[in-house]
Amino acid sequence: MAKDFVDCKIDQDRMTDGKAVAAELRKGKRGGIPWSVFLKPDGTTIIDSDGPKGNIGCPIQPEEAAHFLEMVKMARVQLTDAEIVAIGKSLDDYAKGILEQRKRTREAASKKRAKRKSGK
Amino acid sequence: MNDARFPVPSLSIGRLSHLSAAVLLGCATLSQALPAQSPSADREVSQAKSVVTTKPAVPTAAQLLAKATLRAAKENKRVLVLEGSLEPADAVELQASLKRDRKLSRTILYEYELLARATKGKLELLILNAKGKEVARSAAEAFTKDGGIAQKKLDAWLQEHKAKPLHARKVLADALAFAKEHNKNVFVHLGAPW
Repeated sequence: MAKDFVDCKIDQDRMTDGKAVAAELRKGKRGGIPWSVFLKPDGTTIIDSDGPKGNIGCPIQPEEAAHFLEMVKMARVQLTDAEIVAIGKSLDDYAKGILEQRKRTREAASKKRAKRKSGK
Repeated sequence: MNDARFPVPSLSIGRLSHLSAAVLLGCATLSQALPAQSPSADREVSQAKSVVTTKPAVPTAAQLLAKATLRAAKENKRVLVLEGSLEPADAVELQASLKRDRKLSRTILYEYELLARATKGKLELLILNAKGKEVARSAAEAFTKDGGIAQKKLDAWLQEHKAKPLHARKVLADALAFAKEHNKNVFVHLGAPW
């Protein structure tokens, strides 16, 4: 990613004019965060994270990851197809880790509930 | 503008920041945060040598501080160090207040990387900038009141010494200028500390 892109985080809450800049980037469209966009150096939008089903946010689900990779493909400068496949693999590994973590959290909560119920 | 302005993606606790870190660095940065050996590798070693080596190395105080200042630099935050004896009741109460009190916990989440350093002597609060340089120091007892914590006074002190906020327009303009200079595009992500 660093080969083709400059990473820029806009913190809506902490940065001066953060919310105003966010609103300008989103062109008035409302929605949650995280939200992302690829820009050309002149500031024009190439593609944003609003996919067919809305903002993909943190792309964990397959359709979200697919849209994110589409974003990368549209915005790339020199990245090769093989490098984009590698980015997809990184994203996939990251998503698996998050989903496993969520599963463990759900299971722990479920066990806690069951324990509480049996104790009554 | 130099390369140091955009060295690596931000590594905040925000989900997308983690995502961009993982993708941009091919997970390299995140894997560095893990213990040097995976649990499965540990099992193999202990089976082969009959030596139990499953405990990951505990990071040293210097390593923890280095990580905290690195995170602070990337997020334009400061480091708050609780330094001194952490076990007396007032020290325990102070640590709990930083997490329990809504205003204090928000200030910590938004503006500081929190570290505790157990040493001998009375508890002190130390604020460091992202380069590790001391910005402010105060005895913890300055923030106690009637046996409890003077939350308003402590929050005012933390607010007084927080990092100056970055200007979103300048951050974006710098990124665009850097991209133009280096024939790249800009990946902008909107987020918040929470």
